Amino acid sequence: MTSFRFDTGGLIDRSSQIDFSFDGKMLQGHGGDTLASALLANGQLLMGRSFKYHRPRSVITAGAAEPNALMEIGEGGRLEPNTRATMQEIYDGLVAKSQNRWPTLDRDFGAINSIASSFFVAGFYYKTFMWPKKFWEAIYEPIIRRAAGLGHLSHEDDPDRYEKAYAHCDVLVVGSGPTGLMAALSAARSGASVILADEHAACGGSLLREREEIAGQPGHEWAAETLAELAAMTNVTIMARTTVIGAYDQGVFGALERVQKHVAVPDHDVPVEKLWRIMAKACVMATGAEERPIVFGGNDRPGVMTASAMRAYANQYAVAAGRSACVFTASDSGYRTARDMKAHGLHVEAIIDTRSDAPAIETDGVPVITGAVVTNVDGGKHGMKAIEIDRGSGHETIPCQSLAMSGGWSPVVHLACHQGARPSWDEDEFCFMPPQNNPAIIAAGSANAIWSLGKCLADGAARGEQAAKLAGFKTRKTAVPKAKDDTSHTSAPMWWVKQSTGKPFVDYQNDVTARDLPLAAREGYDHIELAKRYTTSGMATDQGKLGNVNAIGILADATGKDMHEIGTTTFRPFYTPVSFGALGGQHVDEHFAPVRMSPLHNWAADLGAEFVETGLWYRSSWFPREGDDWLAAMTREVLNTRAHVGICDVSTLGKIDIKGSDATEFINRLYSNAFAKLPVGKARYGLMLREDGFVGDDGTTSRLSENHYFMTTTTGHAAETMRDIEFAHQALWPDLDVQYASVTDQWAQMAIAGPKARDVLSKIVDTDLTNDAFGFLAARQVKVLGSIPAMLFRISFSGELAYELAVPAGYGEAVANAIIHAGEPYGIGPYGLEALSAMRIEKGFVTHNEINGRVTAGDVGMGRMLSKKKDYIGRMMSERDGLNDPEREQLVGVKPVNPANRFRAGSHLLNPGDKASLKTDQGYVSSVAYSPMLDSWVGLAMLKHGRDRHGQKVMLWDGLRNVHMEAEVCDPVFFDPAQEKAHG
Amino acid sequence: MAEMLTQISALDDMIVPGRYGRSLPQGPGAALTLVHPCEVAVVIAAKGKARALSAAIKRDFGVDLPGMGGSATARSISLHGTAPEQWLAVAPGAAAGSLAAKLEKKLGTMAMVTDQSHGRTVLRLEGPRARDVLAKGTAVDLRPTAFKPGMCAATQIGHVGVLIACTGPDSFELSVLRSFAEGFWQGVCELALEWGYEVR
Repeated sequence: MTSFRFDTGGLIDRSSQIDFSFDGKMLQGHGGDTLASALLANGQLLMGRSFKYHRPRSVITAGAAEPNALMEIGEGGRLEPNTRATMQEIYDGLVAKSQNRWPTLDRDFGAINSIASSFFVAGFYYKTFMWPKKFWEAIYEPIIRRAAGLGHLSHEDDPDRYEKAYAHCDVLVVGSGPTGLMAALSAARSGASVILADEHAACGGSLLREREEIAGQPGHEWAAETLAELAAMTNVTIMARTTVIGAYDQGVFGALERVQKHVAVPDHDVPVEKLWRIMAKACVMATGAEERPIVFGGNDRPGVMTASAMRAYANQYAVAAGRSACVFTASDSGYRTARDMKAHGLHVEAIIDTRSDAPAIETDGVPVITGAVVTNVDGGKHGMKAIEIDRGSGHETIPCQSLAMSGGWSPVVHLACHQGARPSWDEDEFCFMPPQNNPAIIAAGSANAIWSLGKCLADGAARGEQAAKLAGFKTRKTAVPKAKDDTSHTSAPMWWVKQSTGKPFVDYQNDVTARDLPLAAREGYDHIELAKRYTTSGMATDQGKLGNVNAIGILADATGKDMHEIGTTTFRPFYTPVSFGALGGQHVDEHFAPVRMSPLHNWAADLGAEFVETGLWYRSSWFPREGDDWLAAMTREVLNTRAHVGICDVSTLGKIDIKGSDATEFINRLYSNAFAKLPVGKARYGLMLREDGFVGDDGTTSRLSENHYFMTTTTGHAAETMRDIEFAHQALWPDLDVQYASVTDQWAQMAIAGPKARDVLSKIVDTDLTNDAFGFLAARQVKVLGSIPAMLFRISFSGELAYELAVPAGYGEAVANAIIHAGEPYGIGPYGLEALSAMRIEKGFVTHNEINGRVTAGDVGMGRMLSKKKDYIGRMMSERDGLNDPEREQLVGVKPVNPANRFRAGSHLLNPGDKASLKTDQGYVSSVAYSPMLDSWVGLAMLKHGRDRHGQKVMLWDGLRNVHMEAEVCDPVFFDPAQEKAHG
Repeated sequence: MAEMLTQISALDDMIVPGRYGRSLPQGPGAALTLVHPCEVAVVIAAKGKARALSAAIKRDFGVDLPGMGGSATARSISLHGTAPEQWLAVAPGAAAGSLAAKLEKKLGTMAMVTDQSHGRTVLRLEGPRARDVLAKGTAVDLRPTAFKPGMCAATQIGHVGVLIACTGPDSFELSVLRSFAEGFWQGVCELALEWGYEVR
């Protein structure tokens, strides 16, 4: 290996030694090193294998665009694939592994793909793996995935915490190079609040990587001083290690802060990553420019990198890929690299300039070969030996251990394009310029094709002022420090070296060569978006940050179009990959969704309840005693309630307090059945339709006083019903004097049901509960346990003599315990959702299993409830022909011929002898329970002509479980059809 | 007998006073306190009565009824504007049932008053990092220049609706629906780990 560290120089802390491992080898680096620079320092030039051909690869860049040096970092649950070694800081104990190799990086079996590369041309997936069709999933796809693959996952839980956060500022400055620093300074001096974000660990951008001076001092020193000045201002927040990943509507920017990705063992109290949403009034996009590689034979060989990357490694990290270098350039950047490398003591053999009219630029004595190209690189996994050049008079060879290349610069325009605008090609600057559709996203410096340091400083200051003004601040002109203003010149770029003898790569990460794009065009995929998919150029984790412009150029060449006609592919967030951990944030495990707890939750838990999630709620489902399974527990609870008395938590029902002089009229318009004459002290079952005429929700509403109602909704539709009520009042009938508030959380509500319910309640309620005084559907405000204000309703969802009692939630447990205590002599027991459900099915009461959004009141046997005397929500639409079609499915009961046969909701109903098909389908089962009273499984179902078919036989068909079962259609009320018990 | 009953908060067994999270030299970044018991009521103006209601509040409580997003405190009662012509009245430590009864008596038919003393859980979050803790949950601009004492915001933290009222330079009152309180408490505690917090 040829790469090495210089004895002196660089912005690294040579006094600190950091131990890390790469592919099991223990290595050392210094503070300030990235994984890439530390690997180079250790002579580890080979860093990975390419995706398709498994070619040996090293770094091409020193930044976020890196396509090659992708590693698996960390172990176990912390393992993270596809980490760019150029962005990863080293830390003590860092474990890094190379990717895309088997069995080892050095001896890689997949490299044979390279020999067979003529089979792996563009579109080879589509061409090769077309047939037979079923082979794709079973054979081709798994093999390709194993061979290619971009790293692995450990499949273990990530032990670390991730968080999301919001930030607000007047001016967001993205990038802390010379432009960004000046922009932040000028904006902050106006008084605007400024966030300065930079994706690197150290702020300063190119000032850390170049040898340029500002105001007579080294650029990095000026950067440090400016950063210190900014840090001292209370209106400035500097966010290092923070990548602004997307620009969204209305000034919202996404940013990923890598808080603890550079430490061995993260502090568990601190998130490892924070996903920020930054709301900014204006944004200065000081994101810089990306240097383009040149597409020539062997341009992927370890030792070949962009000219600016070679400078960054030398100047910031004091490392180089080899002891000698050549430069292949179409711009002045290559000359700067030659000078810098010479200054670091490297032997620079030659500058090969594609331009025959190259301007005379200082080379510090390095010979320049103009009008020439590099056609191949002699090198491999151990590094480079030589390059082959062509100056028009045949090939010649120049020995060297590294090669810097510069095909010109591309402004990093992503943030200006994320809302859909596209960049436009500039024939003078030879780059795609950022669009200016959004005036609040201001491109500055080299992100706007301003190339010299002096001009970038001035532009940064001006753009910072512009942003602050846009945010409403008065600005003064900021003094701009002096820096060299050398003009930079790029002549027309050479999109690819056609004389190449080796493989000329356009897209390193996907192994796309310059020959693939013309092929795609020839095969009809000449639109840039199609060419991207067909060739995979510009896909995967780097999204073509390096290769796209070259690919566009080659495609333009191949199709005879100009750059503007070809245009770019779509720029979508995120700028660089974001971990799923960060996207999930703190909402994982039990906090994945909010949890709602009934005020009687602990009461039920103390009684041994098992809970079930219903929406966000955790409801007590059944109360096992020793050895009980759910069925045994439910059966016991039902039998006890029907024989004696039971108590059940129904706090989760939606509850709405409604008052106002027009409250009666309001409620009468909401419900489809009559409510205008509901007497004070009475409850009534109500059915709400949706605007489209189908059933929306049901519940009971009680009139507590002249203008005061208490409405209940189902648990599942509480929020929707409240929303519908808000809409009806605000948008449909704002003239009504009515006020309403959700009181779901205010009240603990319990059902006390069974023949002994009255006896039990009489002991704690201060009201006469005899039938004459408190008959069926009575509803009244009462006092319990002497003075606790409560509401008592004589309503029954079990078919038993039953009451629902609501008490303020904080007294719920005490009252429930008092009821249990009072009920002990009568054999009271708690019952859960399973028993509640079994009892309501025995009674044929509907829930959202039946009123599922596709049924009418008539379908569930409530057609006669619909009022003909008033208008109400849904009335017009409920009268449509289709909703009154006699062919519609109607609510029935079903019992299997063999009562021990369990069947499931969702089963379909067929006429005996019919095969299951859409045509023969007669309906479906909506609810099923084991009925302890009938000692049979029973169900509610929706059946064509159902009400006329009681007593007939049908087949129950459950295609999922392959169950066919004979059943009898019956009335949906299985138990106590005369309603004697509830009225008792 | 009701006097004998204690109103149990939704966080009854959750509150364990102490220091949690990171231990930084400058001390805990935030302190969390459950405000319990705490009387809470929703007040909604009757149609066309907002002006009269405002006058009645001024007369009986000596404060201007705030608009949406504003808070006013009169002696022991705070009124937070949560929606157009809608307020949340909060009175920490008042006698059980007293707030809604008092408001109902004073306001008569000018407004609907609904007791929510059991339906809301009220927390106090204060300390130098309180704003940073909340900024992990809500999109509301919480910078001291934007969210000042006397302001409130109905928003969400972790998909749970919450009313945040700024009660001092670095102190906030948070009210959430009772059924969400346990998860909300756990969530806020987690967001405060980074700077350390104290449960009082």
